[in-house]
Amino acid sequence: MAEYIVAFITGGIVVMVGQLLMDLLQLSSAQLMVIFVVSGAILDGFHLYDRFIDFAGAGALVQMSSFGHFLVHGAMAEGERSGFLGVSMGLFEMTSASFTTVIVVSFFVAIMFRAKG
Amino acid sequence: MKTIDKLKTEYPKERKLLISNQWLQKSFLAFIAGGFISMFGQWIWNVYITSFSLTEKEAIAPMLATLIVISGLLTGLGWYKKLSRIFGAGVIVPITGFTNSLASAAMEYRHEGLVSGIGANMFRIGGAVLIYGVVSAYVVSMVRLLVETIIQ
Amino acid sequence: MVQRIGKQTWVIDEPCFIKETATVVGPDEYEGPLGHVFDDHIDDLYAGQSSWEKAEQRLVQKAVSQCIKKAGISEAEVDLYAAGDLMSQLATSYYAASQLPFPFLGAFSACATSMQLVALTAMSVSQRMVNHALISTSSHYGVAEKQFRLPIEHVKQRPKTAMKTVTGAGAALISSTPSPIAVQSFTFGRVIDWKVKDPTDLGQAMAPAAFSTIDDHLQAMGESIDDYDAIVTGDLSMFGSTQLQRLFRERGVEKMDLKHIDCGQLIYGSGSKTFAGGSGAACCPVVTFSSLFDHLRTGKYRRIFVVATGAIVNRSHLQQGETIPCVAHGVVFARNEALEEGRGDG
Repeated sequence: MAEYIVAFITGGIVVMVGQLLMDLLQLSSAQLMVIFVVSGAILDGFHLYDRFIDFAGAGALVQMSSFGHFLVHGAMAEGERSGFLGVSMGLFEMTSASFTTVIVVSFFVAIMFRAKG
Repeated sequence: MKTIDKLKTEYPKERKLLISNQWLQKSFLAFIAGGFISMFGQWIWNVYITSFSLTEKEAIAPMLATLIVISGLLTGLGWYKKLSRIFGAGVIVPITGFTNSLASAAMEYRHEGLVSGIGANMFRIGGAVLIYGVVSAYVVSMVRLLVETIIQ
Repeated sequence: MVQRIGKQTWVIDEPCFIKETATVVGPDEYEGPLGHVFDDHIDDLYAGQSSWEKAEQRLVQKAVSQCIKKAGISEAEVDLYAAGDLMSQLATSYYAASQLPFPFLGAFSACATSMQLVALTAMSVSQRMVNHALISTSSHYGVAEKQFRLPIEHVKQRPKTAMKTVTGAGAALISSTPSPIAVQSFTFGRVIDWKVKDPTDLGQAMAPAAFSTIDDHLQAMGESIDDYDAIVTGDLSMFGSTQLQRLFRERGVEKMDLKHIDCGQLIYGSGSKTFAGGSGAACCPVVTFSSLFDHLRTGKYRRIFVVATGAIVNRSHLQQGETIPCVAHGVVFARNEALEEGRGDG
C-alpha cells in the first residue's frame, strides 16, 4: 500500500512542477515535454534518476523524464560494452518498446477514429 | 495620449495577475491527475510482476505500453483533450501526453492520405520531444563515457 | 454617391440596402443562447463531408443559397460576389465560389473581413456599378485550430482569455432596391499594433484597433455614442470588451458599457466557462446578420455601428518574435424609416 501512496505523491509533485513551469513561464505543451525529457537525460547522467525510480516506482517511470533516462541508460549500457560507438548503437535499446508502441498505437488510432472537435 | 500610454504598460501586469490567480488551483488539479496516473501505473506494474512472474525491469515496458494504449484510445474518442482542459500538465507530463501529441497530429491529417497525411504529420509536435531526447541523451552519454574513461 | 468625411470615413448619400441575410452555424453555436435566430445549422462539425475544409465550403454554399432564396431573386440577378474566410489563400471562399456563376472578389482582413466586404460592396452598389452584390464570410473551428494552433485532439490548457473560433457562415445581399435596413456610412480602420505577443489573448490585442476605429468614426461624423442604439464589436471577448470600455473611459466617454455589445460574448452566452467568447471571421456576421438585424427590422434598434475586429495571427511571424497587428472596420446600419412609413423612394 505504501508504494501506491509514494507513487501518487511523487508523480503528483512532478506534474505539479510541470504545471507551474507551464503557467509561470507560459510554455506550450511541446516545450514542457522537451524540458522533461532533457532534464530526465541530464539527471540520469549523474545517476540521480535511478535513485528517484528506486524511491518513487511508477511515480517516476510514467513521466516523460523517464524517456530521457532510458535513452541515456541504453546508450551507456552499450557504450560501456563497445566504447564510444556503442552510444549511438544502444541509444534506443531500452526505449524501443515504448516508442514502437506509441507509433503503432497512434497510427491505428488515426486510422480508426476521426477528430470530433 | 498620456493616459493611453499608461494603459499600454498596465496591460502586461494585469495579464500576469490573471494567470497568477489560478496557479494554486491548477497545480492542485495537476497533482491529482498526475498522482492518479502514477498510482494506476504502479498497480498495473504490480499486477504484471505477480501474475506473469516478470522481474521488475521486464514489467516496465508492458506497463508503459498499457498506459500508451489507454491514452491512444482516449485521444481517439476525444476525451483526452477534455481531460487536459481540467488537469493541464497532469496529463501532459506523463508518457500518455506524448502518445496524445502523436495520435492527435496523425488524426488531424488523416484526410490528406496515409503517407503524406498520417505519415508526414505524426511527428509534427511530438518530433521535438524525440529530437531533444535523442540529442540530449547522446551528449550526456558521451560526456559521461568520456569522464569515466579519463578517470579509469 | 459616396462622400468622404474626415480621413477614413465615408458617407453613402445614395441609399444602399441590406436586402436579405442568411446565417448557418455549427452545433455549439446552435446550442448557444442565440440558437433560435440562425437560419440553419449543421449537426456536427463535418456537416456530412469527409473533412473540415469541405464542411466549411458546405457552410458557405448553404448560406449563399439560403440568402438568394430568401431574397426571392434568381441567381442571374446577382452581379457581384465577394467573400472571405480565415484559411490561407482564401481557399474555402474560392472553392465555394467555383460552384457559383458570379464574378468573384476575395478579401482578407482576418476576423474583420465581413464589415470590409459590406463596405466595399456598398460602395459599388451606391455608385450603381452593380445592383445586387452578395457577400459571405465563414470560419470553422477545426480548420482554424489546424491552421493556427494545435491539432484539435491535442492536449491544451488555455488561459481564461482564449477564445473559440465560431463555426459558421453569414451571407448578405446588398442591393439598391429599398429594404428595411440601410447602410449609411463606413470607416476603414488603421492597422494598430500594441505589441501584444500572446495569440491566446486576441481580445485585448484587438481592443485598441476597435477603439481607434470607433473614435475616428465618431470624430469624423461629429457624433457621440448617444447617436447610436448600440456599438457592436466583432470578437473582443470578455477581456477585450473591458479593455475597450476602459479606453473610452480614458477618453471621457463614461456610458460605453451601456451601448457596447460584443458578438463574441453573445454567441456562446456569458455562462461559458471554457472560453472568453467567440472569435473568427464568422463571429461578427452570424450575430449581426441574424439577431441584431432582427432588432433593426422590428424597431428595437434604429441605428447601430458594427465594428468587426481582426487580428493577424501568423505562426511564422509570431515565432520569429513579431507582435500581432490588428485592424477594425466599421459600418453604420440604420433602420429604413422611409420604407416603414410607406414612401420608399429608393
